[in-house]
Amino acid sequence: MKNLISICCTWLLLLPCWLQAAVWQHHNPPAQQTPVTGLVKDSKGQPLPGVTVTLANGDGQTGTQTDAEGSFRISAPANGTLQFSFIGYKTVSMPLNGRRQLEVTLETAATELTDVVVVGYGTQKKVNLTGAVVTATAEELNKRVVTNPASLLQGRLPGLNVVESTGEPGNEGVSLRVRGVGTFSGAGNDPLVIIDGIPGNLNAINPNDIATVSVLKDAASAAIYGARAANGVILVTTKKGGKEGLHLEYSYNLGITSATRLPKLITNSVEYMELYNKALAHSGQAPAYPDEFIDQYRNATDKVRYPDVNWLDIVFRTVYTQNHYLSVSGGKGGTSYNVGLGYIDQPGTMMGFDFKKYTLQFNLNSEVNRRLTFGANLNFNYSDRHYPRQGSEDQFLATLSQGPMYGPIVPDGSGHYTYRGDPYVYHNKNPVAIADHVQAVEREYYVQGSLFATVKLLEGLTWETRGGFNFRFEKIKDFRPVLPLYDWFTGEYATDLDVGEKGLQVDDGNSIYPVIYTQLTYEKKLGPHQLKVLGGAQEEYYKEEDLGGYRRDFPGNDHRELDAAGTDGQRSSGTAFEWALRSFYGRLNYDYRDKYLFEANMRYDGSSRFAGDTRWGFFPSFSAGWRLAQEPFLQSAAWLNDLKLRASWGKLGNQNIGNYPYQNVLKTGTNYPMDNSAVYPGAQRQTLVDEDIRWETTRVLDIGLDFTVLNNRLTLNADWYDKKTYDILRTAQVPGWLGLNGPVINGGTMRNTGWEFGIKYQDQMGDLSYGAGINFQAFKNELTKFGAREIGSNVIREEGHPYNTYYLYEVAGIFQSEEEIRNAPAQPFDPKPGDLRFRDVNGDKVINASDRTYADGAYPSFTYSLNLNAAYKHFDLTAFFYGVEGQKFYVTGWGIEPFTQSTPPTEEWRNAWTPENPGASLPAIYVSGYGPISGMPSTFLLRDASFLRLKNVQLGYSLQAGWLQRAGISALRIYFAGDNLFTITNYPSLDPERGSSSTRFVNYPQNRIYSFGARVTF
Amino acid sequence: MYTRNILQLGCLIALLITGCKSSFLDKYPLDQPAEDNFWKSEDDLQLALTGCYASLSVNQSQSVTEGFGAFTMYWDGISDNAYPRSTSFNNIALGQLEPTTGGIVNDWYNLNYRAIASCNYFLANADRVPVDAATLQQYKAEVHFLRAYFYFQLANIYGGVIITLQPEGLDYARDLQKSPQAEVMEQVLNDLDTAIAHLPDAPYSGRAVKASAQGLKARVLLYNDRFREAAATAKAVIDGGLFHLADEYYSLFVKPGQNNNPEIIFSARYLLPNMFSTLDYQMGWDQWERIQPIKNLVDAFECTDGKPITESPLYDTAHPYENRDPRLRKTVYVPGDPWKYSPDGIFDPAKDGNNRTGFLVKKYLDTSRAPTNYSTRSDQDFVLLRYADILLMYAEAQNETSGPDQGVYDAVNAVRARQGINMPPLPAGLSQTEMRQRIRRERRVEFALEGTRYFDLLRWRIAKETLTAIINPGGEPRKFTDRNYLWPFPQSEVDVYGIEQNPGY
Repeated sequence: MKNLISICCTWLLLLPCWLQAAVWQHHNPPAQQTPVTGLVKDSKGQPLPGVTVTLANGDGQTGTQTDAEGSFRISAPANGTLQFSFIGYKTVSMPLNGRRQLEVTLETAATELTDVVVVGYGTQKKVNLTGAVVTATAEELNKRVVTNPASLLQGRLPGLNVVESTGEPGNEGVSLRVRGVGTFSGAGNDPLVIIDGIPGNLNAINPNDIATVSVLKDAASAAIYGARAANGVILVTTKKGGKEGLHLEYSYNLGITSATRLPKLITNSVEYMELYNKALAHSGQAPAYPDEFIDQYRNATDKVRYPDVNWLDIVFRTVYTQNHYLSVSGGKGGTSYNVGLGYIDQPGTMMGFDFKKYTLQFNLNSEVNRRLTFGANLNFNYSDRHYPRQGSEDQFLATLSQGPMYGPIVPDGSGHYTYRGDPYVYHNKNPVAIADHVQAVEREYYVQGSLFATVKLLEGLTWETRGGFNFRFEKIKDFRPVLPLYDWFTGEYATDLDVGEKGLQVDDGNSIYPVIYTQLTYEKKLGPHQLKVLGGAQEEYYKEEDLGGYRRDFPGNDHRELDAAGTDGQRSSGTAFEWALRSFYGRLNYDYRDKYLFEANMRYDGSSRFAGDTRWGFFPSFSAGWRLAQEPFLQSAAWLNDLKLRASWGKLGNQNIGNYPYQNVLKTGTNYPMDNSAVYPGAQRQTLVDEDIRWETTRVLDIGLDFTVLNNRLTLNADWYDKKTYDILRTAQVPGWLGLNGPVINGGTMRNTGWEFGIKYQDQMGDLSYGAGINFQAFKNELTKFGAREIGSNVIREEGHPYNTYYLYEVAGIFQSEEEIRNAPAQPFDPKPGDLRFRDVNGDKVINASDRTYADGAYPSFTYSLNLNAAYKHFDLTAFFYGVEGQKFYVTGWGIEPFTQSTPPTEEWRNAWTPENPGASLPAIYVSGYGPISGMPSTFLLRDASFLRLKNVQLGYSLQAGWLQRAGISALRIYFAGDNLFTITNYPSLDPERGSSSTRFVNYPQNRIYSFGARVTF
Repeated sequence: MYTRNILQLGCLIALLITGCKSSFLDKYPLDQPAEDNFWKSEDDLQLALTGCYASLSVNQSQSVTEGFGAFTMYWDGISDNAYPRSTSFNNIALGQLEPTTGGIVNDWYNLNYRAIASCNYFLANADRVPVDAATLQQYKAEVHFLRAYFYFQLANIYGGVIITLQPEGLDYARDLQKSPQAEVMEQVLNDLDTAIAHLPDAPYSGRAVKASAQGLKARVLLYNDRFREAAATAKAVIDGGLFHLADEYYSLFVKPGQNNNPEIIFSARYLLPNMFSTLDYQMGWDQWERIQPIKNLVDAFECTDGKPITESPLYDTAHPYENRDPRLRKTVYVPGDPWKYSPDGIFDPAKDGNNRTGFLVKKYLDTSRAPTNYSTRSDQDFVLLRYADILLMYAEAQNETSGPDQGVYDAVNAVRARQGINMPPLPAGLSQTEMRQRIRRERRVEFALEGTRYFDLLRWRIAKETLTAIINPGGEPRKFTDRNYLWPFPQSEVDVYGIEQNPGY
């Protein structure tokens, strides 16, 4: 495998060289320069100062600007071409043809206004949008060099919240939320992702292949996807073929990657053991470490045998991420193509993690004749992920759990792995042995392909059909070897490494997902009336099959296929499921003089997940826009480029629950040995069923404003929304005495209200162009109808509060004396001075379950980002800040609570409470599990994870010099970039940017990346 | 030309989308039987019966295990026998027994009702299956027995509970009140009488037999202080003659000794390779040690002269584990014991990072599996009723009915003198009260770590004084208040259904 990869790399690197030979061109020597003068005006005849004038095809060095009167002077060859560019105006190229004096008129570019954006089943002029749609282009997104395209969307699109749960390569756990958490049903909160027209998987594509991304946020824009759109829709298009000829581009990036933040642990062995004994004493336990043992370290001269080990330094490392990308695009006649080939190699900053991804994107577009266009999109992805079998959380906590008194390898020179160098307390398994030898391998093959044909049937009438499929094949091999471990001091065999159940587990999964749609579009302009009608039908089907096998007893660790082992204790499993959807959809657009805009969408969906009678759901939406800037009374306002008010209302659906939720089935696998010879298969009725369930529905009301002023320098988009999800598909709360799981029913209502805006300013001063943009979003979540409250271990689900609000005992301080304890409300455990004092919320003088109270922070108060850019001649600089405010996490265990499974405490515990240090913010040092401090979930472990970070900064240098052209290179860009260079936060020890699915403090930290890259265009 | 092609293509697509049968949207589960097609054959009957038994041995693959099946031993962790390294059980031991405590407080309620639901489903539908009457009657009798077992578990912990005897649906009764404890016990006895009438009078080999139901009935009666009936019912099993004490005490707890063991009357069962628990590594391995016996239990074992350690001249504080009731060393690992679960090979609590009490569980461990790891699969059946219990129940009931007569002595002494244990008989001339204390001590040591001690403490009403005298290894005193004789219903049952909470919660 390694060989194959290096061959591929070499091939990738060499390919541009020999391809460039194919496009080698002969260049003329530079001609004689003569001075040229001229005047630049706008369309109203006013002179334009500050316009950049350059010589096209020059070395990029020759250039000037118009002065305050709009005139310029430049040297140029008589047959040269001058280029005039100015922010907000269309760039003009003017061949001199021997002229020495020029008068040039620049027209307003209004790029923002004439842009076309991708919307559901079509495109729309941006100015005519009435729904809430935001877009981003490849250029904006690919400033950051990351391997997962979903991560790129962070902070770029107002209304889309992107959380990278971890920095684990290939398993970032990126969560995408459009306008908050819409539902608490199993239907989930993931938006629908459409790639090139059919549902797809963002992880499977290479970020470099992306052309545009649109997010459909409100019902008006998303309702055409009806049943699937309740959580918003993300539309991705990949790069299409371009101009005539063959265009080759190659880019490379090298990222020097390390963890953003790691806990600072107390790693002095003597201090660790003394603190441990102290913490045990406070927790009412006998000391673990005898003085003789501590003294061995205190008096040690042999620091190899009696070391002070920081295990984090061993397990975390700096790695090199490599990213190669080659694209070939071009066309001839009516046919164009684009091919992208990518290779990403991303080792983890934590030992044992490694990810490689190979992508191929192929797009073809052919205008067969004036009526028929035909094309294909194909995406192939192969990924190869290695990870310690129990995942990053387990690997991280095993690392933290180690004591500093020993290392991963025994010091006798044998190279053996250490079992433990500490007989007195329990430490988790050796993480280095795990990383080296117990990696699971996940290999995934993913293909998305589709064909389309567009036929112009009549003037204005177009028929489009697209059919495609996703196919995924995944194989996970998890081999758990028998690996001997040795005693740190004696070097003798101790036991085998804890690998879970030894043996080999192999899991195969595959899914096939065909989709086809066909639609008619009719466009007609009648005087001031413009009409566009779309109607179509779609079918999709999904089937997944899974197969698993396990064998236990392998004769050695060399042969790692199932047949190598005996059959005793073997297991197998297999299952399959399927679902189907059939839909009809339509859209009507009407506008009057580009001034009054109206749009209606509808979708009629049938799902196999519901019974015949309730199967079909209807999802309409309506929206309207008023472009005030087109009104006569504002026509004279020259500063105003565009002003539009938007409003929309609509309904969306969700059906993403189980596969057969309305069907009465028995649960198999409830087996029992009815005699001494065999286990008999059994079946139980375990779940109630409501056959009348129907679609979960989300109603969205959106009011928006788009505003462009100052020659298109300043744009503002703002939206307010009210999103209500009702008939939520959830498990009914049934009494326990029924002895059955509750049925899936329609019940419960959740509401999100919020607002978001994006402001952009872009200007130019001579050679310097600069700009800034701010995105902001905030929402409030409320459970408006739920039924009986449900209390989890640290959260509550109750009407009138945000879903999963923190529900905890409230810390009211630290007990300073026995007397204070005696006078305080009765605490649930028997505290000592130095322990936490909990607040008696209901005032009954007893702290018990009814004193838990609501704490905020389940969702951020707001998230925001700031983009800055500047370009001067060949240099460009961008900086991207991203921040989250008000998010809190309830975190427990390793790294936050001292001595969890013997984890060394962080350095801040040196300042913990003692009778001599009564003002400390931390209670007396204790051993995790000690009742008076960690016996109950309290606000002590609820930590503020607000942060502001420099997500990305990039400095680039672009060159189009003549000497490059003579070498066959038409453009070259090199850049340096940094990701997550600094963070401002109060969150302790680890990265505040994390997922919330686990309450464990340990979380694979984000990556800090210093990267260098180059892009060559031939 | 193109127009024709386009038309053909269009027709094809139109056919694809609209022409398909409406069955495109009819999808059915591919790996689970539908309820509508069930109850057609004896195979179905067998599947459903097995489903009822399966609730006894909550499989290791299911997340809830503490307190059930092979992990019934956890109940000793909240008695005066052991310390539990389990959050939910330890919280209860420390007095945090609240409706919202979670863990076993929820599980005990929900899982027993789950088991009852599968019994009710069986009993309501079994008659639909065309099968010979005798088979049907026996199967139904087994399910009646199981339903009695599960209701008895509920009534012991919660007192009165809601009784449902039919499969429930969406239209379940919204106003059903809980029945008083006595009514629940009556229901249990009714089910047991049905079971006794139709179960085969045969040795036990995995499925309930007549003696299983009789033994359980004796226990139910005893727990309800109906001593005379309890004695008679236990006597019926003794007189039946199908069961007797095992030749080897330890064979009761590991395979293959458990198979067809003449002492075992009912158990929660496992069978390798695939129906297994994780008992050996959870109890034995130095990385787990989930239940740790405490000194209070160790001290309860007499010396070989039949006297307690406070009185016996054989007791030597320097060698406290010598000259003791042989059952001690078959129940508990003591410091210095050879112990294959750690690399050192010797049990040394000071060098065992997880050991908090100084003792380890030995009963139920299959030492041939040591050293253990996560690959270790255990198939020990957990014994829920055995002949020694019949004898001691008889002795207890008879002593309460008519004082320490010869029958009482015979029954207790039979257990003490069992093969390989050979403890001397009880001294003659004990008063009824003294005999009661002797029987209680005998029950404690004979059944230590078998999950019955906590229930004995409850029914004898001595849980409060016994448990509050225990100090946890962390120095925290155990707590038990009068309200704890009945547990609280889970808060969710109050919130969702409005069940009347037990007093004091």
